[in-house]
Order: sequence, then structure tokens, then C-alpha cells
Amino acid sequence: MGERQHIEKQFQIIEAIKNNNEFVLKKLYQDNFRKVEMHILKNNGTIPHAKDIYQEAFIAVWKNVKDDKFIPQSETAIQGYLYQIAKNKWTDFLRSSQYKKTISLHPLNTVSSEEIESETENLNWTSGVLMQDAMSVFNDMGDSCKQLLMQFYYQKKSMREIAQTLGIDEASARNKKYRCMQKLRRLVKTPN
Amino acid sequence: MDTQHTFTIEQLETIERYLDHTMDAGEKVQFEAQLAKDTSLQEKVAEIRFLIETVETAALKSKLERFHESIKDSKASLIDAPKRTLIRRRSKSSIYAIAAILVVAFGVLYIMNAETSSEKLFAKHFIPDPGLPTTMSNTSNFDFYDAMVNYKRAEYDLAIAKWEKLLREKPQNDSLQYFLGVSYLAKGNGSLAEEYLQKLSNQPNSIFTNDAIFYRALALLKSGKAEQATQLLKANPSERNAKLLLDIK
Repeated sequence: MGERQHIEKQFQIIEAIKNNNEFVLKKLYQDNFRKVEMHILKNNGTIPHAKDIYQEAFIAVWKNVKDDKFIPQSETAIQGYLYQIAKNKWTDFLRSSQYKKTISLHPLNTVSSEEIESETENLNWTSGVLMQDAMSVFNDMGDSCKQLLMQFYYQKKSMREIAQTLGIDEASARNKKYRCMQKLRRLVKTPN
Repeated sequence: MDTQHTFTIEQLETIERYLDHTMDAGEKVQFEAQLAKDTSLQEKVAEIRFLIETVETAALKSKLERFHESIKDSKASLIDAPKRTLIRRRSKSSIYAIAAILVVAFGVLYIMNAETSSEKLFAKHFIPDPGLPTTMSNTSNFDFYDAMVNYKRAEYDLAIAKWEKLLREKPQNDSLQYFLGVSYLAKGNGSLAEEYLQKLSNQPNSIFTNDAIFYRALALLKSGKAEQATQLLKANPSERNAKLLLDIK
């Protein structure tokens, strides 16, 4: 019975993740970072590596949960899943040409911290370069569009409430959201 | 070239409903049938899905930065970092910490000064309605109870978004009006709460009428309209209303 309760709790976590519940996401993130960091530091990694790989893994887990690609089987399923993905991503990175190139050019221990920073920035963020580009385009957008789109799509606020905080009626807010989406689309399609 | 394939506002909202699974069964069947044969629609769905994912992922990533900042330094993180960056990072974060503490301190002071007596009354008396029991048997009202689960988990934004969609189809539904009002109130939005709860005054036979009056009084208090709240409570005597009235005076 205890196990069943634990699995039910996992399903609740899954639901909360799908809803971008800030409290649950934050707890999941903070509770599991140290273990991943320890693994990466013990295996030739640095602190910036640990952060990047962990965040990349976290986003991958979040995406898979949203797409119903992850179904919990045990009480600590999601935590274990996150650790496993981070571990795999680190292994992939160690095998990558990017990492091997660094090693061959600079003998171990003489790589400066700046170079490590720039290396980690080149790590693939999410589902490939396209999404990364689109995200930077989005981040460069005007604040009003950014806020509106994040409130609607990420925080899942109602159009009505968004309209109220902007001091406009709901129809205008919907229109504004539409124009922001059009703008984002245009910028993603034709960068610069 | 691409601009001619752009989506209209109606298409955007339809596709949004499709992607977040809020289409009803009939609309979904129809939409999927159209989707199967219309390649330009398929492209639009893929495109909008991608754009929404971009927004959500960018929002999450900025959250992750904040989650990360609040992980405290521990020995584990000091193992092999170059010393210079460590010192720089630490002193920076302590400046941020001091700044954050100052901001919070001033914020608290400001709020404490700004908090009116009616705000305090609101905080004392407001307990969200426990909500309706959600059983799995009643499938006809699935959407309503689905949102009720969010409501009980205090995920008010989600509950509101789902119920407001339902309200468009059933604008006179008293359960929707009532729980939307209480949800907004739980989020601290007095004016929208008042707007929804007000609608129940036209439905004296609703089981929510009395509760709605009490919460509406609280909504008025929340918006600083103590005078109107008093009048409303006086006009509708009950034990609970009397207690609140006593505190207002």
C-alpha cells in the first residue's frame, strides 16, 4: 500500500510538472543538483559543466513529462530519471569531438576557466540548434510581448486576467497575443 | 514567401486548444479529420507547437537560473573550481544577497505600512471554499471537475483558465461563476472576484447564493470598499456574516 501511495505521489508530481508548478519544479531542481554535480566533478568536469549539463537534463525531463514519454514506475522514479539523463548527457559530452578537441589542444589542467566557459556555452541546449536560435530570438523580443506570452503559455494565466493587469479588454489582449506570436514567428523565420 | 502561410487569430486559438487538450470530443474529431488531409494546416500546427515550446522553454530556462542561484554554496561545489572565479562569484553573490535582503526588508516595511485594516480583515476571514468532491464516475462534467482538482491544489490560474473556457459555453452557470469568483479571491484579485460573485445575486435559488454573498463581502474588503461590504452584510444577515460585520466595525 505504501508503494502505491508513493507512485500516486509521483503521478501528482508529473501533473504538477505539466502545469509548470513553480514550487514542484524548484524542489525537483534543487534536491537533485548535488548528486549530478558530484558525478560530473568526479569525472573530469567543472562547475560550469555541471550546471549546464544538469539544466539541459532538467529541460529534457520536463519535455518528456509534457509529451507523456515518461511514466513513473517507482517511488523515486522521476528523480532517478533526471539523474540518469544527466549522467548520459555527461558521458556523451566526454565522448564528443568537442571535448576531445579540447583535450588534444590543451593538455589536462592547463585549460583556462574562460575557455571552459566558452566550451560549455556551445553545448546543445534542447532539441537542437533551431530551438536554441528561436529562444535567443524570443529573449531579444520587447518586454511587453515576452511577458504576455510567458504569462499565457508558461504560467497558464487566463487571457482575462492578463487583460486586466494590462488595463485593456480581453479582445484587445487576445489580439496583442496574436500579434506577438506573429512577430515571434517572423523573427524566427528571418533572423536579423 | 512564408508570410502567405501565416496563421489567423482563429487558427492560432483553435490550434492552441488542440495542443493543450481542451477541445471537446466533437471538435477534436472534426479537427483531426481536417488535419489528416490538409498539409498546410499540419504545417501550422507544427509551427505553433514549436513557437509555444520556444516560449515555454525560454521561460523555464530563466526560472532555472533563479533556482540555481538559490542553491547554497556547499563544499561539494568547491572541489576543482579555479580560485579566482570562485572568489569573484562569491563576493558577487553576497552583494546580491545583501541587495535581496534590503529589497525584501523595504518591501515588508512598505507592505506593512500600506496594509489597510480591511486587508487585515480579509486575511483573517478568508479561507477558500473547500470545493466540490471530485469523483471519477461523473464523466459528463469531466472538464468542470478536472479544473476542480486544480482548484483544490491551489493551482488557481489553471482552474480559472479551464473554467473560463466552460463559462463561454454556459455563461449563466452558477457553479462556474461561484468558483471563478472564489479562485480570483484566493489569488488576491478582489475586483474580478467581485465581478463573478456579483452575478450570483441574480440567482437567489442557487445553492451558492449565501456563500457568494460572504465571499463578495470579502472581495469588496480586499478592494478597499469597506462601506459597500458593510451594506451587503447588513442586508443579508447570517451568523458568519455577522461575525465579519462585527470585525469591520
